[in-house]
Amino acid sequence: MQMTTEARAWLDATVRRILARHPLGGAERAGITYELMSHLHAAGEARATSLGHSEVTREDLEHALAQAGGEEQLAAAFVQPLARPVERVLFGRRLGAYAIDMVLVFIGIVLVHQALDFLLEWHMGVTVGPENAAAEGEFDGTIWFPWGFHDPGLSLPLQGVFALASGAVLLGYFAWTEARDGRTPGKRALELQVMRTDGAPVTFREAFLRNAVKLSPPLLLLDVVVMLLAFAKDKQRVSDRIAGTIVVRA
Amino acid sequence: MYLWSIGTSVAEDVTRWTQQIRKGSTRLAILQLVSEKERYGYEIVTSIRERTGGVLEVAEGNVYPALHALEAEGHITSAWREVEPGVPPRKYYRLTPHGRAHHASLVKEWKGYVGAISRLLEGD
Repeated sequence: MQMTTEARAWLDATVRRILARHPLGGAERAGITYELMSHLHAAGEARATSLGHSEVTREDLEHALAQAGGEEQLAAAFVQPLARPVERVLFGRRLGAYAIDMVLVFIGIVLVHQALDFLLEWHMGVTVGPENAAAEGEFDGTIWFPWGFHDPGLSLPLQGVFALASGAVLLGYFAWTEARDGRTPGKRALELQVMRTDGAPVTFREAFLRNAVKLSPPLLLLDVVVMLLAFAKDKQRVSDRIAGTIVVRA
Repeated sequence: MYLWSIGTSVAEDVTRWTQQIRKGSTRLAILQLVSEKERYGYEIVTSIRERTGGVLEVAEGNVYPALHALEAEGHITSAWREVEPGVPPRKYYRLTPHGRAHHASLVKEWKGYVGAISRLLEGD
């Protein structure tokens, strides 16, 4: 049900006043603003309906606020739980966690490569050696993706097989562990956790989005540099901003 | 001690006890409601009151923190839905598979507990 102009203005001002009681991050503030407005509107609408009105008036909203215990109570219900001190982490600990994770990922990739070498040599008769080398001047993915295009003794399509397998290990590791409880083993060791900016746990989709850039170290480096230069206050990589995630102490 | 003060303290004890029971049942009530269909916050507040005939009257101040906690624990998940243009969207909550199992075990616990206390009170 629509609100009168006066009701809308009152709702905006009231919600802003309630939120002003507590320090909140930008994203948290947006979520809670919607939720408060939504609640007061729904409660006001119920009253308007029971009175047979076709629009929600300011009086309906004021009644809804009073019913919910006033501004203090609503602030306690909505804002305080989210305003719990969430300490975002910028760089040091994250780098440490990344180092630990990459050691584990590297072990995983080595194992997968061994298995692939074995499959190729013994079951497909492909030998890893100069006779299968990529031609001079052919695409070299080593810079962009060092743990995939690992062996110049292989033709490009076969390197692609290694690249895909390596990428699956790397991205699978980060996305799966973060989607499970917001922590990779490295983050667990350094007491870090990934969460959505509204404080909710990350889903696989968000974990995937924020980690995809880790497939390419130069792009990751760029992502981190941009964070340090432009988003140091929000402590988010560009990928974090895309995924709507933050890394906090936990 | 005066008699009236004993009377007062008995009433206070009952009130405190009732509050404790209420606190524990809010969580179950919310899980039950969102297990039936996805619901938004205000709907949950009013449904609890209506469905329990006003016995379990939970304030907004309790429902929303409980919803946020349940969501943080991964028992429920939420999505914003546009209801009609020009009015605030609504946040609909529903159970996750994890929450469905949690709900089932809470229901089982609750029924077992209520049955046991009832048998105890009946004295057989």
